[in-house]
Amino acid sequence: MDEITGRYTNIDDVRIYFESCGSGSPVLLIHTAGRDNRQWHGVMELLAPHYRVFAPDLPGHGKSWPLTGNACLQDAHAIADWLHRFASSVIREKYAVMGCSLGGNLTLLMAASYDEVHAAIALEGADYTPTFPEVALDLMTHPQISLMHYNMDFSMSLVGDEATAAGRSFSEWGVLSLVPAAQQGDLRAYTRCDIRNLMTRVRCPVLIVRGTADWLVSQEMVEATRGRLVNARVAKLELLPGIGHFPHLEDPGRVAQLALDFLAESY
Amino acid sequence: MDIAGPEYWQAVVRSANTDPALGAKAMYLEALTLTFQIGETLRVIEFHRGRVDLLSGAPLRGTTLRITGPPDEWRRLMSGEIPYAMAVNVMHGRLHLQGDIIAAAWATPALWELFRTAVRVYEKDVTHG
Repeated sequence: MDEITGRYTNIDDVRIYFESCGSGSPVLLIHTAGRDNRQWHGVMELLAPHYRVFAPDLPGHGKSWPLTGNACLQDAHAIADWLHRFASSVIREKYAVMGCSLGGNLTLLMAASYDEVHAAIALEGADYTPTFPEVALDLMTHPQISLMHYNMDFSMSLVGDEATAAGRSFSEWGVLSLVPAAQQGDLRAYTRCDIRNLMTRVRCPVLIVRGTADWLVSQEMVEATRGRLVNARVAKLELLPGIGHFPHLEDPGRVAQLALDFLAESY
Repeated sequence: MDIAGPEYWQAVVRSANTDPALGAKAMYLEALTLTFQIGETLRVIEFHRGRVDLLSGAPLRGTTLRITGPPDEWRRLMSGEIPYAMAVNVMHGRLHLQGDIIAAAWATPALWELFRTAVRVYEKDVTHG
């Protein structure tokens, strides 16, 4: 099995941690809001015999340093630009992108914005996700709020019944180890994300994957998104029965197989 | 099943007070009162030191938090069709929170347990008539 290795690089003079493995054409992986690249380990190991995969921790997440002033990015366009700079520095050739939730939205945004994106796989990704009120986001860094307790039941309600025990357990650990500023910045980016008018710019093949047990990203949201991908070479939608909001974590085997099949057609 | 009726809420509270998970999550809540407005019907509960009580009538000074919404959305929550987070989600739900939002955040884990209990009571009633 290909070994996952971790390294640091500097992006905008900030030390950024990323993991990589495998050989072949590159694939960039984007974690969900407030979490880190460990979410992708299961998928990385399954893609590695065929692709060279890169999974960064966004600034202030996992083992990446925060931005100046202990800040995290808070805007989808700013995060997509940052990921583009990361890919330009570390990958340095055309690549496929796969992300989940906020990472799924960012996958669509990167496909609309950068010619280097060769194919896009958006797990639980949509182009319009106004799902959190500003007051709930403000509370995430309030001194009287314990985010892990406030967020736990919400997050776990997003995990499907078909999730593996390991996936469910690590989802829980993800909540227990949240950095409030990171979660707040990501969910600000997520809830303010409205990239509907950019979807016509997407030319590369796109696969949207939705777990049917995800109540946050509804079937209507992903179908509407797919409907706006009118210029994409391919715009497929795959459903994962019984899987929730974190398919790469809940069932890495099925996600990896979908990605392998789709990328084989796209490269 | 009348999900706004006093018999249902009395059964929920009885069951909740035998639930150690709810007891733990409500342990340090002190006289935290909530109004559930189910259509036009009001049910008032209080979390206090690990217990939950159903109050008769609204406290004169009002309650800490109020959750309002139409009966059919409450029924979707009580039947287990949707989780609490979805019921109060700004995009997907039709229940609304008003009041002390910090207290609401403190009460959130206990509220989840209370609604899980409510679903169990609902299912038991549906199963056994």
